[in-house]
Amino acid sequence: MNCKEAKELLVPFLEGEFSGPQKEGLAAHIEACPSCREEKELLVRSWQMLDNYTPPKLKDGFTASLMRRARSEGAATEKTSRLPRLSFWLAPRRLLPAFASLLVIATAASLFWKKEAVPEKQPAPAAPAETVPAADSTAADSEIIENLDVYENAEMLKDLDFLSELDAVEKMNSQALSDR
Amino acid sequence: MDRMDFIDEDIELMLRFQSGDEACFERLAELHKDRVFNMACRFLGDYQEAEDTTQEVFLKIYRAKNIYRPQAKFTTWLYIICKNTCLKALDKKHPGTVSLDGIIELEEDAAPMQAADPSSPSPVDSMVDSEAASVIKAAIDSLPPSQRMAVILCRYERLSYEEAAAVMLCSVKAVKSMLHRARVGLKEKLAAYFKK
Repeated sequence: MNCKEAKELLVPFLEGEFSGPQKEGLAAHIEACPSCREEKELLVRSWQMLDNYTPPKLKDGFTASLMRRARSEGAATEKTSRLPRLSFWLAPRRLLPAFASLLVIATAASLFWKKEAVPEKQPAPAAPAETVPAADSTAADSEIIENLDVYENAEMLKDLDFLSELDAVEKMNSQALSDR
Repeated sequence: MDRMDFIDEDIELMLRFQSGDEACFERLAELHKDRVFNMACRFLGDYQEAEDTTQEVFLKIYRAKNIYRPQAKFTTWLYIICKNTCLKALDKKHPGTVSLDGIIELEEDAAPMQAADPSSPSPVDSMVDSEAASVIKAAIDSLPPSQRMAVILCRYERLSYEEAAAVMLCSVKAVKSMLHRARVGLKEKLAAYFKK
C-alpha cells in the first residue's frame, strides 16, 4: 500500500469501516509512515475541534412569540378552511378543460344546426312588413337558443376571477400539505 | 415498520396536539427549539435567519396538525422540515445554490454559503467568543451545502448514516461520500490553525 492509497482510505478507517487484514494493513502503514500519520492526526484533531463551536443561545421568549404567531395564524386558517373542498372542485385547472370541451361541442352543434336550418329561413323576406319585427325577434331568440351553451359558458367564464381566488386558497392549503 | 417501533413521547405529544391540546405543541417547541435553532444556526451562519427559520419550522408543524400521521420518528420528520426550511432560506439568500425539491445538490463545486472572509463577520461571528470557534465557523461555512448538512446531522446531531440519509433524501453511500469530502475539507481549512 502506498501513501496515496492510504490517505484515500483514512476517513473510512477513522469511521471504523474496515476490519480484518485491510484494517491491519492500513494501521501498519500509518504506524510506519510519518506523513500518513500526520494526515491521520490532522483528520482526528479537526473533527474533534468541531466541538469548540457552539451556536449562541436562542433568545428567551421564543416559545411565547411562536405561540402568539401560531394562534393568530390558526385563527386566520379557521376562516378560510370552510372552502377547501369547494375550491378543489372549482379550481380553474379542473374547470377550464371542461369549459373548453363544452364550447367546442356547442360551437360544432350550432354550426351543424344552422346549416340544417338555412332553407327554412329563405321565405322570410316575402313575409308581410308588419311581421318583420316579430321575425327578427324570433331569429334573435332562436340564435340564443341555438347557442345557449355558449351563452351560459360565457356567463360562467365571467366568474374566472373568483375561481382564480379559490385556486389561490387551494394552493395555500396544498402548500401546507406539501411541507409535511 | 411496526407502528410501535417509533412511537415516542414526541409522537404522543403531537397526537394530543392533534386532538386539540395546544399545550402539547408548546411542549414540543420547548423540547426541540434548541435542536432546531442550533441546526439552522450552523447551516445558515446567521443568528436572525436561524431564529426566523426555527419559528418557521414550528409553524409548519403547527399547520400540519390536521394532516400529521406518525409514520416515522418525530425527530426524523422534524429534521426533514428543518433541512427543507434551511434550504429555502439559503436559496432565498443565494438563489440557485441549492435544489429545493428536498434533495441537496451533491456537486462538489456547489457554492459555499458565504466566503470565509474574516473582514465581513456575520451576526453570529460577533457572538462567537473564542478564536477557535470563529475558525471552525468559517471552515463550516466554507463547505458546500450538502457537506455542511452532512456534518451537522452526523457530527453535531449524532445521527447514524441511515438516519442522515433519510433526512437528506439520499443514499447512505452519498452521505458517507459527503462526510468524507467534508472531513478532508475541514482538515485543510483547520490545519493552519493547528500549525500556529
